[in-house]
Amino acid sequence: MDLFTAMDISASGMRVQRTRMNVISSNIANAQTTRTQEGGPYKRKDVTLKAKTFEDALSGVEVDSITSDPTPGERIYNPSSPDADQEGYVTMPNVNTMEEMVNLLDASRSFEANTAAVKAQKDMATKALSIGRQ
Amino acid sequence: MGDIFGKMWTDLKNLMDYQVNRQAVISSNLANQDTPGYKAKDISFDEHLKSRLALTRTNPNHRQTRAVSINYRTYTDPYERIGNDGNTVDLDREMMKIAQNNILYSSAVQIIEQKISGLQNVIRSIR
Repeated sequence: MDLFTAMDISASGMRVQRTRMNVISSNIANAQTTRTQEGGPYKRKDVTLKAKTFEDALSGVEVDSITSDPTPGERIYNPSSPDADQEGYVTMPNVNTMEEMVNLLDASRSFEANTAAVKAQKDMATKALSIGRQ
Repeated sequence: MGDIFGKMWTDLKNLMDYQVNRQAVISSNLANQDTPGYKAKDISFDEHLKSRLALTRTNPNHRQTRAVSINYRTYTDPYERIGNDGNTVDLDREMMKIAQNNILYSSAVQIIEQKISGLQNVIRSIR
């Protein structure tokens, strides 16, 4: 157990937050997408996190799964769209841009917290190296 | 004090080891601040400190113990945060712990540096 274990743990945290940000970006980018490979409108994706044991008491974090949100999207009346049904309604993706922005901010703050931890570990290592240097 | 590399060095080393361990525990709390159900952890070595202070030499011929292996006690941080995902990591609290830990680590390093420069003074004055 040394400072590098601590850095590995912080790195796992940063990696997870970056994945979250990627998923949120893809949700925002596809906020208006009505056609996907699976068919139908885009479904917003969500990241589930899981603690990953490092050493006895220490745990890093990893992405457990990326799941699709099954909530039905909003139906808007737009008969001119090629994706409209018989009544002229188009089902839009279930992405709420506001919600995604809030989640993005949360992920970004969590990333910063992990960066602060890495900085503290770096400072400690540098201080230990200064012992005996006159 | 028996010799120039006496008990104090071992104690300072143990203190620094503890702080490195605590830093890792804080890191895992921060890494898991968005994991549902994760409980914030902390470590302490007060039991070790107590037993260390209780050690008294009953006979001057007894050897002083040098290498002490420390078992830190990991416990769930009793501080509770109100949330709906069962996660108890409080960002501000963890940041405070990082600052505290860093200052204590620096002070241990500073004491060691002072000791070294003291020894160097003695060596220089002999010449």
